[in-house]
Amino acid sequence: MSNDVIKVINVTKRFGKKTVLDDVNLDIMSGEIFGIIGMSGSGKTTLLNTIIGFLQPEGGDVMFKLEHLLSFSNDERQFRSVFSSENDVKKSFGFAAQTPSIYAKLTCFENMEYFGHLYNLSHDVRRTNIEILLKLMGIHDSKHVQAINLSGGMLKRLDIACALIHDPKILILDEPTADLDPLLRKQMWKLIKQINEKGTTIILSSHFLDELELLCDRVGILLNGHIIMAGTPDQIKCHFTNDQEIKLETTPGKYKEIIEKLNHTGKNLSISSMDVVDNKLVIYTSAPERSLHQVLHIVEEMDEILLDVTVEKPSLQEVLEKLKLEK
Amino acid sequence: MKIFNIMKKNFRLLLRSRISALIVIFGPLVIILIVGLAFNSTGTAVINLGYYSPDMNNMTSSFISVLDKESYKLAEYESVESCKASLGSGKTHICVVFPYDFRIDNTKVNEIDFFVDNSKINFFQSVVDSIESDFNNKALELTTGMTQELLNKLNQTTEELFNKTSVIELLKQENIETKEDIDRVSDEIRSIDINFDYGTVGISDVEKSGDEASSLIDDLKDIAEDAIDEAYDLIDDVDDFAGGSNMSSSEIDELDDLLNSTAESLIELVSELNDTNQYSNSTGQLSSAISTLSSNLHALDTRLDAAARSMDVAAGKVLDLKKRVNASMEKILAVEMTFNAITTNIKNTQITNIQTIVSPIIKNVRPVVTTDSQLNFYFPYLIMLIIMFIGILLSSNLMIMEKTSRAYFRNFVTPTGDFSFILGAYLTTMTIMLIQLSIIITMFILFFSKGIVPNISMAILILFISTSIFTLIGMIIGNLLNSEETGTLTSISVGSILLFVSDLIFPLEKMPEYISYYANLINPFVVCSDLLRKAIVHNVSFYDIQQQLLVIGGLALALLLLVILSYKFIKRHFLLRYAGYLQRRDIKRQTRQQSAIKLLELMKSLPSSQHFITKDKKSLSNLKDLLNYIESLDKEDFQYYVDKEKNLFADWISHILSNEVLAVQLYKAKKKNKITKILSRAVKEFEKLEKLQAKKPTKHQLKYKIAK
Repeated sequence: MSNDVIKVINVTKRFGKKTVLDDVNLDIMSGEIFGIIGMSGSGKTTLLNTIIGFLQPEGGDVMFKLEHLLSFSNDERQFRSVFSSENDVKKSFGFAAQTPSIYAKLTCFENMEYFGHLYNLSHDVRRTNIEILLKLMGIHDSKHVQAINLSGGMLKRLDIACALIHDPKILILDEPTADLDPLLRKQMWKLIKQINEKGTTIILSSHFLDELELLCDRVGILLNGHIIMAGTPDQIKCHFTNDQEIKLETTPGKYKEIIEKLNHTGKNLSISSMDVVDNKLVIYTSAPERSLHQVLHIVEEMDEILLDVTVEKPSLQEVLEKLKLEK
Repeated sequence: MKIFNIMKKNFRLLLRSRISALIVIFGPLVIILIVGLAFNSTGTAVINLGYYSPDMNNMTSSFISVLDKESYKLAEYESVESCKASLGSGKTHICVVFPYDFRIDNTKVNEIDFFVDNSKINFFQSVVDSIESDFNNKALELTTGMTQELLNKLNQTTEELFNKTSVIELLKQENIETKEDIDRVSDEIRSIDINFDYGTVGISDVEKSGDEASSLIDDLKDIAEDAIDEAYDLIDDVDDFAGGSNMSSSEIDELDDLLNSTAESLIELVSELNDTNQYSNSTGQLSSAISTLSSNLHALDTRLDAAARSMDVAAGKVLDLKKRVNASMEKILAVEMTFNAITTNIKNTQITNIQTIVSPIIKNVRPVVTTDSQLNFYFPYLIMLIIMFIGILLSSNLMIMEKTSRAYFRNFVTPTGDFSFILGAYLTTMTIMLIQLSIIITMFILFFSKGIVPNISMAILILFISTSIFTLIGMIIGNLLNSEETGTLTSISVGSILLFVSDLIFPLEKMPEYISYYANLINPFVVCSDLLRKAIVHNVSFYDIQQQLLVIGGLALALLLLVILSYKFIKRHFLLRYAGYLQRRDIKRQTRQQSAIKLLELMKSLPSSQHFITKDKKSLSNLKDLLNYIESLDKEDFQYYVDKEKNLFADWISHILSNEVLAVQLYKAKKKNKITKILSRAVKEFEKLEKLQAKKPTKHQLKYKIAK
């Protein structure tokens, strides 16, 4: 029996004449990390805002399971609409927006103390949570540093800490790694994982599909206002393409010649596309063994030196781009 | 508690924003200190007075000597122009020009000209008041002297009149006596009976009587003689008797004496009787006398007749005289009456005191509040000024700081009601204001006034409501605006407007009636400062001001409602923006603009094959031409292009110009006037866009500018 914690049911949201969300259906399970992917302007932020109850949809509803009933069976009666249980939603949900939402002139401690108060936490619980979260986020040493003096990554972590101050069961992160450098992004992934390990359900949106692939248990693809598919990254990849991706790096890197030779090989290699990306030859093929064999043969013939070769499923990014093209 | 937590957060943010802390927290304290020192004065400023007199005579000198005191700094000028010029240059505050031949004279009017610089709005009136006061005192002195002279002359006249009254009395008396004499004379004259009728005199009777008298005398003589003879007989009898009686010798002697004396008397009587003969003789004489008398009486009668005639004449003259005396009396009475009237009038003059005549009304400006310092009077207004500006500025800045902070969004995620945030901001402002007011009032009490603020409970209530009102106004401003700069500017503007439409700068009475009316009724600065003044300066009771308190209380509640509504509106707006709706709307607007630009460019370069060809073979390449053409069509011609089933204009715009939005609007409109209206609007928008496009510099132009 699935343990859904949030159900998005036939949600439609319009802004003026434009329909941003069109009959969206989604189930989020307890304890998972769910990623929402989509292009810019596809409605990711709108969906997240609707889930948390900021925006009232024109049609449909968003139901969530009350915190104290999470351990019970998936009985419809345990669910409440987020629009009629505003306070319960706020107590159960934590939200971290794309831009850190904290007071620049307050210290880390003061920010968390303040928001802890707003969640009606008692003094002891508040202090305990602050200590735990500061350590978890790795900003304990900057406890009494004003937020304005923190780096971008630390700000983000503080923001997430403030979102977690009341120990919500559901955490919503909107573009958590936006504006972060790769190193910080990695740290953020690690952090998100740590939070999730403590039992928090996480819903996040991101442009960085590679991180969603790594982080998320499941993802949902939002396209033209619809969730066209929701599932594990592998499920999605398999659903949209049977191809595998061969990435080849050689030197001196006469990829165009290699491509030409592959095209004129006369063998059926089931290659759907070939391209040079980031100084690597990328081949999409449903027959990866045959194609790889042929490519390596050509590389050898041309006296190219092989530097790197990988064979894997295409990334979500690639799937999305393909979808974009199809649409 | 959440609200205290919110307040604590607000305090931290304010204090850590150094500029806010300096301006908002310390600013009013500095202002009140400076203003307090400035207004804590009992004296007036020294006035620089320039003067000019064509001839420095005694009168002019006396006036100048009045001004030669501490509060004036005098300077003499050679001419009127130089004196007036000194005003413009700021050397003098006032220029006094005395007239030529300045003296008090019946034939002369003296005008003293005061030239003032009325561009110094606040100062010039006090200068004018000061100098007017001094000159008025001097003029009063002169008036007093002249009035004293008049009074003295009046008194003198009264005395002389009074003295002359006794003469009149005398005249009257003499007149009355004369009149009485005249009357008397007249009566006497009238009473003189000079009617004489000889026949009635009775001379014959007299003659008869004379004769009778003569005969009587004879008879009497005879009788007397008889009587004497009898008496002699009696004496003899008595003597004989006495001799024969037993009387004493003394008694007999006595009786003899008596008889002797009686006999002597009888002898005398006999001799007298003998004289009667003379009388008889006299009667004859009497008759002759009577005759003489008769003739005299005739003469008298004649004379009396003449006298009667003269008497009549005299009576007439006496009458005339009487009339003249009466007339004279009337005149005397008239003069007396006049004198009396003059004297009565003069005496009835109730006001004889010179001071009362010269200054019948003495204006005693008795301040209800006995204090020397101006600060006491300005204090309520100063306090309200501080409360107004700082209340509005602080609360608006607080709201804007919150709105523009990154954490604004997170507040909505927490289970904290909107009212808590509103109340938190309100209480933060109120707390800061309370601290500031406490410091200000303490400073006021310690440094500027010894008296403790009376009616403190009323003052606290008014201060509380006033601070609330201005705090709420500031919160509304903060809710509506998005940047601290505009918030500050708006706050200052609102405060300035409220200040100008109040009594502090210009009297409300000098403004149009409707402004004055509404300012007194609903301008919170006016109402609150008035209430505070009443409470602090006049110590009024609650019942005296309850109506005004209700007004400001109601205003505060109304503002609170507006704060809540505006907060909710702004929150919704914020969430929409956060959700990207507004950005989408902006994008949509930009997209529309971009498509309009594309259409503009398209219309400029439209090939003739794509022009709209009318039924009369006209070629239309743009919307403006299309509009002009449609306007020229009559109903029948119009129906050729547009009817229930087709709309050729819309088709062209849709398929050739590729502007779906405009095409859809035209499809919906079937009538000519609606279509022309839509096209006219579109044409205007395109023209506007064209102008904007024309103004935009190209990349090359921009570079050129930078290089320069």
